[in-house]
Amino acid sequence: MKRAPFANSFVALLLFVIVICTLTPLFLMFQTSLKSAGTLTGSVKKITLIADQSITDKYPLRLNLDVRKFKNISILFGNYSKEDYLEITFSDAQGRSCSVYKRAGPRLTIPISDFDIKALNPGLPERLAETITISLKNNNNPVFIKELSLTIKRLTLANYWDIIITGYFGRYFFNSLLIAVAVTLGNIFFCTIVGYAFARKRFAFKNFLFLLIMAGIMIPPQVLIVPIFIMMKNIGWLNTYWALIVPSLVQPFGIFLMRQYISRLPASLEDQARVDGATDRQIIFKIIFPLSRPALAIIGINTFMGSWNTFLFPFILTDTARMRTLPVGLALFKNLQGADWVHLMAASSMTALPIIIIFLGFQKHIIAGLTTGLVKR
Amino acid sequence: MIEQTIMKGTSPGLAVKLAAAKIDKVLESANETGAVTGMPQMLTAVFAIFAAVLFLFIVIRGNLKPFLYLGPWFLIFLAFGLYPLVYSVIISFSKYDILTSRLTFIGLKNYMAALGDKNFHRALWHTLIFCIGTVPFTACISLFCAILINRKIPFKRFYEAGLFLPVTTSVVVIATIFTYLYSPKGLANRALDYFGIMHPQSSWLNSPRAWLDISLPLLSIMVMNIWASFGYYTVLFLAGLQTIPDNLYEAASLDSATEWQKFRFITFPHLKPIFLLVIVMNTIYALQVFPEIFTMTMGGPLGLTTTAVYYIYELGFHSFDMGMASSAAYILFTIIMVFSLLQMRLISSDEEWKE
Repeated sequence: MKRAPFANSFVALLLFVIVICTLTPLFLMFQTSLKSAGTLTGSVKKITLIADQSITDKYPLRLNLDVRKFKNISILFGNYSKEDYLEITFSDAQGRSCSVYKRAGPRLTIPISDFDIKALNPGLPERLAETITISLKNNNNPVFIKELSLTIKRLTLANYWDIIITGYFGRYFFNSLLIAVAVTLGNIFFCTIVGYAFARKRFAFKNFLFLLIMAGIMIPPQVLIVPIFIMMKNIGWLNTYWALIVPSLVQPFGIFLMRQYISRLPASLEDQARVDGATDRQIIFKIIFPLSRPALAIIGINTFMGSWNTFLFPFILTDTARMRTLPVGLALFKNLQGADWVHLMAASSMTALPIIIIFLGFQKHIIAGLTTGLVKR
Repeated sequence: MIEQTIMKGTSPGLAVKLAAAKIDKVLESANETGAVTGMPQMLTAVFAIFAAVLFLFIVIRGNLKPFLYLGPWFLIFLAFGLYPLVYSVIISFSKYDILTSRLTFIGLKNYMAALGDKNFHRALWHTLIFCIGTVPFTACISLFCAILINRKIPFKRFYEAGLFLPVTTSVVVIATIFTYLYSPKGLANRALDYFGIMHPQSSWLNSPRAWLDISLPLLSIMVMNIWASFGYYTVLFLAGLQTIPDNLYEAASLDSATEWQKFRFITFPHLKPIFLLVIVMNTIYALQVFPEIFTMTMGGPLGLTTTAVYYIYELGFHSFDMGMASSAAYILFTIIMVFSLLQMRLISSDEEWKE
């Protein structure tokens, strides 16, 4: 079929614009998460701290800043003489300090890396955003400063370190990963078995039971939050991994897919194996499992994604920071933190990035899972 | 009460207190008689008996093995699907004391209270607005994008991935990003500044002005929802489009049909089942909207973004009125059920499930 090339390039352009629109928020999330400070569209490049003031070691400048996020410190002097040597010292609230010696000039620009920052806080990458004092020491004359400014690093990973170390996000990540992996493995294992039974076995109530799975899909989770919360409270599963793993260990989506896939596999292999005296267990693990790898990949990836992103039940069933998953942690962090965007975006990226990487790697599987399943999200 | 004030000369406040105490006593005694303690235990027993009977039946029939395979699923479904479902029916008809875990049967009172609650009406109204405002737009945008991608252009996979990426991202993440975009100095305001259009000075999610209870925060969340979900339906439409045989279009081209005619007489009739499915699925999803609301506004300004599920959450986990929360959940459930049944009809009419 021939179409005008002009029309097609117009379509491509239109699609490109739409894709840009969908990707912009995600891109801004990553960009902001790497910024040291700033707003959505512009990052602050320089912070001017003082103008026309003198700082000495007796009268130092006290600041509340995170030294890791700055590239260099620049000082514009009012008075100096060529022979003067300056000692610039950072010291933190605990009294640890690091200093650099420089010959005076009209403008001094000192990279922060010249300072031995690690001396300030030996347990890097802990947050350094405590009070830090800058003091200057000249060998004979008092120093008069016209301007003192700090240049901000353009990109930094410090935000990530902050939320991991001080914001519990390392723990959230671990929880999310543990739960997602457990749920995925459970689904791969159990869905194969259940799907096999539905595809190959004859038993009483088969159709009724299959309808029951359908019904299971139709129950909206909102109806269950109250009774499941009460149930988990009664059996003492609140704030445990059990509560977050066990209920989603076998999901209807996987059963559907496996039943469909296995019933389309040729039965001759199994029959042969059965003639050779193989048991059901051997057939499942030696024949069905390897043969249905494509379907299992679809189940595995989609289950992992669903489990990683799920919000409602982890939110209802946990109330301690140690047991939260990433989405829950992020939602509560957001409501607590207000407008600390760089850290919020770092937390968001941390939640989104693993899934985005998985998606880019397994796009085909994920989309296949949606379209062959046609089961709601 | 009035008599007391006049006759005995007690102060009105005290009289009210006394009357309230009296009413409480009467109610308490009524509750005592109607109390059904041990309801959950009874329910558990019923379930255990059910399982035992089933097990016996299976043993008698002799065909045990297949049921062994179904075991894990069946146990989980029983424990975390059917049991809570039945349990929540019971809760919805009773008063649940969160401290003592005691259930007291109070009949239809919870349903009456929920149906009579002005806030619940508002929540349902917001949910309805949410559905009306997102579902058709999502369906149309995704259909449009699917038709564009389906043409013979390079980098199809790239476009597909680009549109689909927001779907794979957690709703909470998207909500956080959009809170950022809607913030006072966020992208939305800067874009409007650029074009010189008036915009709210504060965050878009805070403005309390409303018309018919429809407010900017609600609309903002709706826009976000469309952005976040249309990629998913694009992929569904794309799968549908790829089933339309090419020769239909070729024949149409020979008859010098315009693009619109091709869409109107070939594409749309073929996609109709999927279009309906998309609308139904999206409606179900929109009826259940919750994480967005919790992350962005917490039902926010003056309850203007409280949707049905958020209302249920607040009732159950802020006011700890589990009974009323359950009854509200059941009212929502019946609404969702209509659409779910529709969806099942649509899916099972798809050839995918005919075997």
